[in-house]
Amino acid sequence: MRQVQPAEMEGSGPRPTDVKLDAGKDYTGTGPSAKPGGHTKHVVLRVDRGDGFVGRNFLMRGGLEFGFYTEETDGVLLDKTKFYWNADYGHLSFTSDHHVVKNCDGFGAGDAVVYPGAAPETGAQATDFYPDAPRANTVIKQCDMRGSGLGYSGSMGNGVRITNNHIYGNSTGIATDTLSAAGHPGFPADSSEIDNNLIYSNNLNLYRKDAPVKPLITVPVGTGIIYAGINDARVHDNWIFDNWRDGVMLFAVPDALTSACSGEPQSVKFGTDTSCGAEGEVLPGVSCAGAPANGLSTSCNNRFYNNKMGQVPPGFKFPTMIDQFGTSRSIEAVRPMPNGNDFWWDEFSSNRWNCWYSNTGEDGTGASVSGAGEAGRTPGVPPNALPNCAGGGNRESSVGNGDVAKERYLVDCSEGPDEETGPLDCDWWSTPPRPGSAAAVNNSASFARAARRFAKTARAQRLRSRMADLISGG
Amino acid sequence: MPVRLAVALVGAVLLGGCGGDDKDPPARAGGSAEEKAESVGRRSAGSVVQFADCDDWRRGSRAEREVTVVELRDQLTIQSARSSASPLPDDRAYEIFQKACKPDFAGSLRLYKLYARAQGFAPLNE
Repeated sequence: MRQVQPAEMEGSGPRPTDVKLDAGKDYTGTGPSAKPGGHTKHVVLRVDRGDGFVGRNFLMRGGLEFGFYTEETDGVLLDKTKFYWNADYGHLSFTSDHHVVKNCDGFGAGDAVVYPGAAPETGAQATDFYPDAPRANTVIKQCDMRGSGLGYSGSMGNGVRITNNHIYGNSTGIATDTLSAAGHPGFPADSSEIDNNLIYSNNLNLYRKDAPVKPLITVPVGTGIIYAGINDARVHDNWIFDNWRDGVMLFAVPDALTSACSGEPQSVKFGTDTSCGAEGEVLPGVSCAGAPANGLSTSCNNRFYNNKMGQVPPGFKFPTMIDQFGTSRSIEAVRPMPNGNDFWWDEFSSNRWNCWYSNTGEDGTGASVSGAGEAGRTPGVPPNALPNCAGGGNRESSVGNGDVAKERYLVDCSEGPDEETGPLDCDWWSTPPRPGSAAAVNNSASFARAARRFAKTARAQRLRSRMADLISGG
Repeated sequence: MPVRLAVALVGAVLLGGCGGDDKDPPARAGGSAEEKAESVGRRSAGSVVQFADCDDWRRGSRAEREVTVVELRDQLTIQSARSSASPLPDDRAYEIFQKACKPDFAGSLRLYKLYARAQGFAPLNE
């Protein structure tokens, strides 16, 4: 639909799956969860500039790309909708405001079940264009996002709130990034809020030949949340457990890494381009010191608090569908269900005001919270800090020290999968060992020496120099 | 991280790459191989960027892969810039695709998603 204002679509059945908008064909099996063998349409339902659209109580299934797709729309409510087997994204919104997706359910996405991208600047960088800011512009609530590469994703996902959802059985549960700045207005991403969710058992390994869902993306198997370059985020009051690699990852994506910004030729085959900066105008209010002028605009002023890590809510039972694609998970009767590591931080030099406080770990105390993580199979460079900021009251006390081992790890992982399994190679493409198992312990011990050796190498020194150049604006 | 194409989605046209491996001679600027080469992958709305994946990459000749890298760079660099200069050199992007597309499981990985991540960290790489 195009420029229909307002419109409403409501399925008439007692259940959302009674009314199917179907773009698939050649299904294997029967019923709403059947897997398509092909596609007849790119997008199941598209609503552009359709302000005030309401969709309720139906299933969008089998799109070659997306189940639901909206751009430049002010006001969308999706209620009791499902997104099954859409090859790319179940839901995709772009440059849209006042957007609510609730009571949804989705699986079978090669990228993410739900994706609000390039969301408006209604957070820390809001101007008087949004007189009611700061506020959330998009809310995802009471959904099940599962059985996919990502449960949720949002490049430049400014001002998005993710609350009261179950996010499980994906390769990674949630990702918000600034990696793809080109074509995505709203740089840098800020003011994401993730609260009161259950984020668990995101250990689905799609990086195998017989994967039940074809992966389109590269994310670390076994991870609850990834923040790849965000500011002013709040992650609080969640239950995050049984993610066998990391509960939450936070790392920087410097501006120089997201845009062609140089007066010198940067491509062997193409000449000089003096254009500079992220897509569109960078609005004031960036929380990193000196940004955006110094080119380091991401991964500052993020807070993680009141989360229960590795703990399981009273009375919790795994949903039946967690075993749909055979994700690795803990046995239900066993408590607690620790994450491989609770909080991972790259400690990028100069990143400030990132604080972790009032969280509790697998034994219910703050002392059992783990972080700031290692550099994959190798240890990070000490002191490996996870700043508490005096319980959140002194954010000035948090500044990244720089960790060359972790940056090397991120660089290697950024180049996608390979078949190398050495101590310095990325380990994202396989299921981590169960936390606390003998395999997990042995991995850490056997690779420690390699990390210490790497830190002394010329390659490590060159990496330090490049990080220093970035920070100095070189 | 979707790719936004400049025009509305239209029916797809299959232009599957075929033949060749890395033993093919490199395409030369202005040479006949590059002039004739088409990017690998399904073309939609005038571009392969949305759909080209590792399966397509494997099937492409060297010349086809090289023009694919250029097409990816054109769309995955700043759209408001006058050119499409990238911190990720084309030759390095080619090497990364060769490596990332090698594992059995990698066939469905989208090239544009691989490119965007590698480009993001390129200035830190050797």
